[in-house]
Amino acid sequence: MSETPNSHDSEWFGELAGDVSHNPNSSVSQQAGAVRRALQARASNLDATAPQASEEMRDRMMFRLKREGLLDGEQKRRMLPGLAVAATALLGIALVADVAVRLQQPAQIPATRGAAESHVWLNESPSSRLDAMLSGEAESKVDLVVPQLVQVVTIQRDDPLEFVRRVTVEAIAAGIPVVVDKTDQGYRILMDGLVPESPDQATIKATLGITSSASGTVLFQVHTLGGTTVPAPSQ
Amino acid sequence: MQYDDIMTLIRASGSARNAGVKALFDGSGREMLRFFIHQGVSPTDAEDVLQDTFIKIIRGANNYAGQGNAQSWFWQVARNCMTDFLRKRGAYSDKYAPFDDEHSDLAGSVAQFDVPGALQLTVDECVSSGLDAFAKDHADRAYALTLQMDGASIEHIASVIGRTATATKQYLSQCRKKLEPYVARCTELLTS
Repeated sequence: MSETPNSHDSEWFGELAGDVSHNPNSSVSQQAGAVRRALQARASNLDATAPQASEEMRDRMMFRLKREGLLDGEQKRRMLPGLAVAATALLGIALVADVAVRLQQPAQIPATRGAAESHVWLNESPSSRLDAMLSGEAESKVDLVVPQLVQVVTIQRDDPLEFVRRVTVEAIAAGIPVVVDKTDQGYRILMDGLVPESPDQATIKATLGITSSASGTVLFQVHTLGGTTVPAPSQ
Repeated sequence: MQYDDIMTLIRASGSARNAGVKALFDGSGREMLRFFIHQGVSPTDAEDVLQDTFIKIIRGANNYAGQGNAQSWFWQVARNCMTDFLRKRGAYSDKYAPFDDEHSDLAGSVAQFDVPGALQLTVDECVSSGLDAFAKDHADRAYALTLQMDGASIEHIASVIGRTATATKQYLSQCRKKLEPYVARCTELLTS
């Protein structure tokens, strides 16, 4: 400890952070090690007194914010907590959702479909759609928004809530952030981290794991991919 | 979710804002509570300060003009709310402002802190005693060192204390310098 105070900062802070010491017997390392232990003990004691940032505390927060008029009071859906529990249970598992769907371009989306039939289509401008949702121009409900949104998949089927729950849980479990957008026609699931920038339709389908069978059934696969983009698969 | 995206949500309305608040709570609530506690807010009051922080974040979000610094802005609001709270409780000294160089020298330049009975203590006991005194005088600096001890990145520490990464490195170095007199008495124990 006889060194100039600002000398050996790298060694001192490295030791403080618990890095491997290259000179453990030096007074600098010894002092930093002692400070580290003292800080750990102090932090541990203080942290033990800190209230838990629990779901109940979050609910109290939301309640107060609604009371202050800062949040809408109409959001009573309990979907996310349920999803979080399910996602935790499914974490680390690569999941596949089989859906009877048909791929179409947005311009070809039919106005109505049979109740038992499901549809998936790709939105070529998900960012615009998201902007519209966030600006309130669209009647939507957004649960979670992601950065660098690159893909929108819209699903219609007779049990949309259950389907959305499944796919969303699977996506979250796979570490893929999603947006669930409820519309009069069904639910849109906006997904990120799945496709490269400016992909063509075949690349999107291949990357998403959507493959058409002869009967028109489409396999919708949620990949366990990290990051925001992935290399385009070889065709 | 990135903090800038959380800010986008909070600046929106309806369910988007709800989602942003939840994301911010899940991402930073625990750490903000910890920060408040380390700065002297009682455990029973920490939740109130956190709620005040979120209220001010929502009310001020549309005035936020920063680009890519939403996390720093959230923390700035948290620091201000904590300071306001402590001031109202009479637990705030104008000589003390968290992470403010100009107003944080409560103890001035301590020549050397006299750890009571230092030579009868172990090294860890001596340093712990000195650290307690240091944290009492410089809670902000003790917390910055705690974050470093935790292995937090410079960028994260910078957000919490409201500085650039470069300034944060300098600040941490100053923290070490200011800690030095508080543990100087322990030197003899280290070398013995």
